[in-house]
Amino acid sequence: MEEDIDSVSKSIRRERVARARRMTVDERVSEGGPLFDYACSITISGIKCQNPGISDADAMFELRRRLAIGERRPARAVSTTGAS
Amino acid sequence: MTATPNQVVISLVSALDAEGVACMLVGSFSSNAYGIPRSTKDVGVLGQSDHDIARLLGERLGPDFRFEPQMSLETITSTTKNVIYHKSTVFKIEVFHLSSDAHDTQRFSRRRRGMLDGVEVWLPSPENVVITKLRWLRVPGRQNDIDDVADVLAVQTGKLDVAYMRNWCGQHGTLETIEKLMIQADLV
Repeated sequence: MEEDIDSVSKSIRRERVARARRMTVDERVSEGGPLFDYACSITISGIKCQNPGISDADAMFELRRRLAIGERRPARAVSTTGAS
Repeated sequence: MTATPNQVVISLVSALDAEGVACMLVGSFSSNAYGIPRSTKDVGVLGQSDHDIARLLGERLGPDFRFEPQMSLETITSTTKNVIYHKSTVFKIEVFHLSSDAHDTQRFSRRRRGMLDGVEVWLPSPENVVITKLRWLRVPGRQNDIDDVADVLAVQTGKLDVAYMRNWCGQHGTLETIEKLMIQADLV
């Protein structure tokens, strides 16, 4: 089972790298913003699902609150002398 | 209509250009340029100016943007930073001032042209994205950076000036890290 998961994980990684290699620099640099918009739209949908009748302004306020929580989240330790 | 993150970045870059401030995109926009694009909630811009860039931008960008009142100091390169928020979105802008740090100066001198949604922007070289992101691993909470470096190394395999990266990483104390990441990248 673990070998299957590892194999699928490596396959997905190879596909992601291959897709990125097919893109131009300009295509890649332009993609981060729309991906963020997409992530925000999914989060807003979730907020509205959790809070029926919530206004757009209040949903946006909640989105900002959640992003702020993400920024305050305790840092994971990262080694500068060895990449795991 | 709400602005998109890319439109916010274009507004910023256009304002800097109008003020005669040479700049380049850094952070996740630059690693996206050479690695695997990922969602990014902010943009970093490195600007070169003898003037107060925040004041110049404040006059140029207008009321759609909110400026953090205090400038902060980045300890890695001893540079200063202004944080700006675009009011109608949740997008954050960090404006770094070009420091006299040796690598900061060199990566800026090697910046190259790119296009963001059809508008000219400047980007660091892929080697300098890797060197900078490894250097910033010393700052807590930068796990994304190591993933970004792994992605750039994997996507740009065979196209990078490895000797240049080793030289700077040796000076920054990150040589062992990049060696391990390069071995991993070759396995992709």
